[in-house]
Amino acid sequence: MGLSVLVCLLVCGWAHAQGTDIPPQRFLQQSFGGNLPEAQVLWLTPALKQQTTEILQHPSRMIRTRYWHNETRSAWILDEIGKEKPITIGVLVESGRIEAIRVLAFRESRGWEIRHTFFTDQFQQVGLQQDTQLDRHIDGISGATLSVRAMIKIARLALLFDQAIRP
Amino acid sequence: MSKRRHQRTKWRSLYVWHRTLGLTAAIFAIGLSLTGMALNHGHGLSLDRHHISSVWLLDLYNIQPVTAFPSFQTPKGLISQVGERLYLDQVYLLNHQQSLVGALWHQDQFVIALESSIILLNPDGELIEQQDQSSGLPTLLFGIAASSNTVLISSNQGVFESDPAILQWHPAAIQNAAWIDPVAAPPELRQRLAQDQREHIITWERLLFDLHSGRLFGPVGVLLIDLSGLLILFLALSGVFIWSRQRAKHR
Repeated sequence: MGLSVLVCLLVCGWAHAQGTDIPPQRFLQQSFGGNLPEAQVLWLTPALKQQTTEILQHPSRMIRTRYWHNETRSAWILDEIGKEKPITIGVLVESGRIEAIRVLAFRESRGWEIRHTFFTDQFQQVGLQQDTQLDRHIDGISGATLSVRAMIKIARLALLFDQAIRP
Repeated sequence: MSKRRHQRTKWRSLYVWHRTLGLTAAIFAIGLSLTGMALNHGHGLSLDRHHISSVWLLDLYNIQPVTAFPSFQTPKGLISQVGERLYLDQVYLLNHQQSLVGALWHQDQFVIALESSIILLNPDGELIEQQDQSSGLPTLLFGIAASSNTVLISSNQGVFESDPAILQWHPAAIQNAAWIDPVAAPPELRQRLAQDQREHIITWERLLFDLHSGRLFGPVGVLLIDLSGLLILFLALSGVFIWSRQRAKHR
């Protein structure tokens, strides 16, 4: 009986995770209080591409990336592979620190726990060090190591890109 | 003691059962241990990134080659999608879950339309950008066409047009456009792509998992693994019992 309940919870959790994608437009509207600026494009210079590769720990396929920004905040929607499928993550950066980070689309069968606020709240006010590491440790989730790593990489990338667009 | 009485006593011995079933369970225990340890380190051993290509294993999984798939001709090559794998001629580009609805060559880049995304690739097949509704795209795309210096897409929300840099999409009041039609890939290429896609479906990790659980051999395999689990459980319990009895005897 107990095993049936556990299996049901896992399946329901996975189904819930699959079916609660957040449309990117909604994330952007929420990030800018409905006053969404025009999208801009950041072209990755060779140096930036090298740093991106170091953060992702695999060759970056990006040549340019889209962002939305005003004087103090920027929003990024980036993908990174968890275990096999890409996870789409939205990051809002305010004055060089993470204001919000959200999973917009999760396509894997496990590791979906990273979409919960008990995990994403850890990224609040996190900044980037000189060595492109986050300036705070993020506690992982057992059994979701690859998803956790993907989110940390995206957080670092968004902060790096935010630095790149600021004069 | 008579031979018959000795035989009866022998088979009532827990030790005899423990020994006999232990030998039987050995092969299952070895298999479960090896596959279990490999699965524990699947990512580190890249088992989730390498795929089986053995024909008889793929046949066992009933993974058949795809017989029909969409292709779109561009001046720089044929864009095809087989399963979730996108190709430029015979070169693998990337994976995408959405279906291919069109592709064209525009201003030194490939513009690939999927069900609700647009992918831009440079001449080397490197990803420039993947666009979705945050770029102004409608939710469901049907086709793609080239205009003078822009790109058009047909969708569930009408015709949309890009800006010249293909950064944003806006509704367009365009009635007629030369929508790109799919073509049939040459037979040799079709066979090669179908084979390549077939060999990138089942990972080694998946194979090990199915071996570990018995699922590779269907319900019978699962039952055998369940029985071996019970066997190992019996061995553990009987072993502890025998040990405690021996210990008590020697005190």
